[in-house]
Amino acid sequence: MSITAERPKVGATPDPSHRRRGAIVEWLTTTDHKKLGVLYMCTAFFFFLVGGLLALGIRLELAEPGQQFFSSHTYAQMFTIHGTTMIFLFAAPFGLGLANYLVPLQIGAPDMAFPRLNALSYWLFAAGGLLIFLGFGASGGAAGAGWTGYAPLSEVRWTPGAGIDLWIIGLTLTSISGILTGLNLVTTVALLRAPGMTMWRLPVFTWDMLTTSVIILMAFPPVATALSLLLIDRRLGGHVYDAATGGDPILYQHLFWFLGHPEVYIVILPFFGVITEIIPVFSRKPLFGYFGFILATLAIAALSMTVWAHHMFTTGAVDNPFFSAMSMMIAVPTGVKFFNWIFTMWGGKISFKTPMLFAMGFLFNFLIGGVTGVILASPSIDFHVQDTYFLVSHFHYVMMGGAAFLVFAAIYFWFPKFTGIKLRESLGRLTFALMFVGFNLTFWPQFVVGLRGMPRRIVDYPSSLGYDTPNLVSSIGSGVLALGVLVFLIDLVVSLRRRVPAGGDPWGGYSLEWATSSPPPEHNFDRVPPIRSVRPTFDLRHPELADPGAGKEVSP
Amino acid sequence: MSVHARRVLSALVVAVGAALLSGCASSFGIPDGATEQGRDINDLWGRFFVASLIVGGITLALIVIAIVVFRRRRGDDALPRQSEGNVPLEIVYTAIPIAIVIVLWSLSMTTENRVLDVADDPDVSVHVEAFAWGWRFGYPQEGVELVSEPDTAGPQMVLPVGRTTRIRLTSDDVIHSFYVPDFLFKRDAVPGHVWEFDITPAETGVFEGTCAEFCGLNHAFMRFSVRVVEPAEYASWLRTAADAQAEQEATL
Repeated sequence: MSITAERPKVGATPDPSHRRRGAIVEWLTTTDHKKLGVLYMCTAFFFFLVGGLLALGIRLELAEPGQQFFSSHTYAQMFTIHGTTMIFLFAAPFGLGLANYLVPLQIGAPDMAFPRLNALSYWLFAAGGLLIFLGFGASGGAAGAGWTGYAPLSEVRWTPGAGIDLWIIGLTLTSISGILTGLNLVTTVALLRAPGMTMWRLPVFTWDMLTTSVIILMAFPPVATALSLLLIDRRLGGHVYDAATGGDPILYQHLFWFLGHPEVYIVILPFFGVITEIIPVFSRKPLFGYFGFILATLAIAALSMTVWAHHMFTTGAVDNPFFSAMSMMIAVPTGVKFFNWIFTMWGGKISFKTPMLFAMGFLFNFLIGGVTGVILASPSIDFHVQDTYFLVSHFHYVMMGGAAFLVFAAIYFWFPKFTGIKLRESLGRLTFALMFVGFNLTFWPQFVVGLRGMPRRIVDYPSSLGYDTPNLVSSIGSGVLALGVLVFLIDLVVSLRRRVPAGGDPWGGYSLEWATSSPPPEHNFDRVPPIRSVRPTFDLRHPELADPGAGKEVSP
Repeated sequence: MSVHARRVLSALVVAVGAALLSGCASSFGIPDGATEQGRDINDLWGRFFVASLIVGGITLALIVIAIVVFRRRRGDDALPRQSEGNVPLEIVYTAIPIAIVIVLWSLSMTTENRVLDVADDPDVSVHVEAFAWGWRFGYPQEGVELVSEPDTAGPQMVLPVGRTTRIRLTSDDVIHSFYVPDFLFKRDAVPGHVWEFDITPAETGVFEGTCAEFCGLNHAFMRFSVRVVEPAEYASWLRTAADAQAEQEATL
């Protein structure tokens, strides 16, 4: 710690261009968890914007029946890279970036356990994302077999171009990156907690990141395996998934979804942590049922490893009753969390700042995502709605209306901590309103067309089947949603131009990151406050309420 | 819970209940189901839909009440009571979802068992082969085969109403999915595997079908249809089709 504190000041060099180069080199070579966290989040958000543009292209093509704008070949690349980007390059890495920044702060540590490994994780992720997009320059274009990359369609006989190879290698690199970050986070939480920070005093975000890391360690190796076997099939003459030569395409689906479903929880659990930091602070109460909440998180982690084949109910090759039971059961701990959030607000004094608005929007959207999730866990109903827009809408209610809304909540909540300046509350409200209306306008009609039987991943649809009007409404909604994101970008620019200092604790926060300056010093804390409960910063502000007996075990 | 909150809550529960009862007769957005199996699935969907409305409605009502009743009033800076939980309440809100899940799962399984049940002696047997990008429908006993031709709406399978049809499904190349929205049923066609299932058309008419699993460039255009007719009409169609096919083969 003291070594980093004595680092010579960059401002000592007189030449300004030299100084700029120094700053760039410092960002490129940094092992500081905060800088890496910012790099992670900025890169992930950049991918969100690119993935969003691809989505707008998809909605443009589907606004009316007939093929107006894109060839089937281009369209396939668009939805494949849109899905891959949003899942693997945006939602999951943003959560990991947030964890990079926050977990050491929340446990009172100076950095992650393995800072250089941490930098390697980031650069593997960035390189993986770049490789996937390089596919657009390859002959035959980028990967176009869907984000799931089902064999045998992704085999070289059906998709010969190099795009899929780059996609495989890129995803494998991001998987390795995820595994290394997972290892790093588990070690950090296990070993670097400040004195007094017992496991039952860990902030919920840190608990959820710890759990997420464990899921990553269980789920990412199989997908790296699935993809490596696919690469062997494609380039080294393997026959793992090729039915014509004794392989089995169903095996690919098992291996892929053995990651693919836990991946949903890898995406969403960090943001369950985010909202559980936000709701108590803006309700001015502690979390209702902390212990039950953590148990529910652990139950979700355990159950998440037993539900993968609900993606395969219509293959006819899996034990539907078992996977149906497990998939429905996972709604129970998720429901418990909902009640934790509701009863935290109950009896509180809620103030509706922008982070809280996004959290409220999440509760509404995720409720719909969760309820339709239980419906999709019934195999017989899946026989109708699997692979239709009903499913597409469901997972967007979970991923976009759920996780991505909380990405914005997290940005509005912690941006003052990251930068020391505030975002504009008025522009924040406008962003939320446009995104909330736009999102629901985009995806509600997709439930309707899905129930009528419109399959996903089609570039065109006949005009006789009642798909026209809902698709047009959905496309208009996507424009409103995009406008909301645009207002957010304007907010960023305005706030960074005309700076309003935030101070160390602009919201009246509970966990340790609010007890240090904004942005925190390089070694995070000049002094870690005593940790006597799950809300050390709150205790600091309200010594009259702090439990007098709770701090005894920390005295030296 | 304040008296005020309790009153709002009970009003909302009554409103949601009334909305549910008035909507029970419809299909809630999905086709009615033109096969016996499809009608079974339609019933199940109705039950899930109502259950979802009740559970989702109550949860949403709790959220809205919390937001409205417990918003911070201007100038109120006092801390609310710092309650950290309530174990009996936590047990209740864990136990109730478990009970709901057990009921929904049991309903699902009884329906699935009926839907996937295969007859010992089906009346009609059709072999379906999916390929990139079309369908081959074979009536093996009669030697009739219908195949997709380029730039058409796809082949039309003809089935008798009220009779059990055994579909034998496979794929020549990549994974496809045999999907008729009006039957509320799809099954993936997987190379190297042959799946068998029964459908029993319950009404006559023409029903659109499509491939539901992305299978490459012309996936969106890999369509077909099923025409369900009276058994007598089916028999004559089949005779005509068999004769035409025999004639065609003879000329080749």
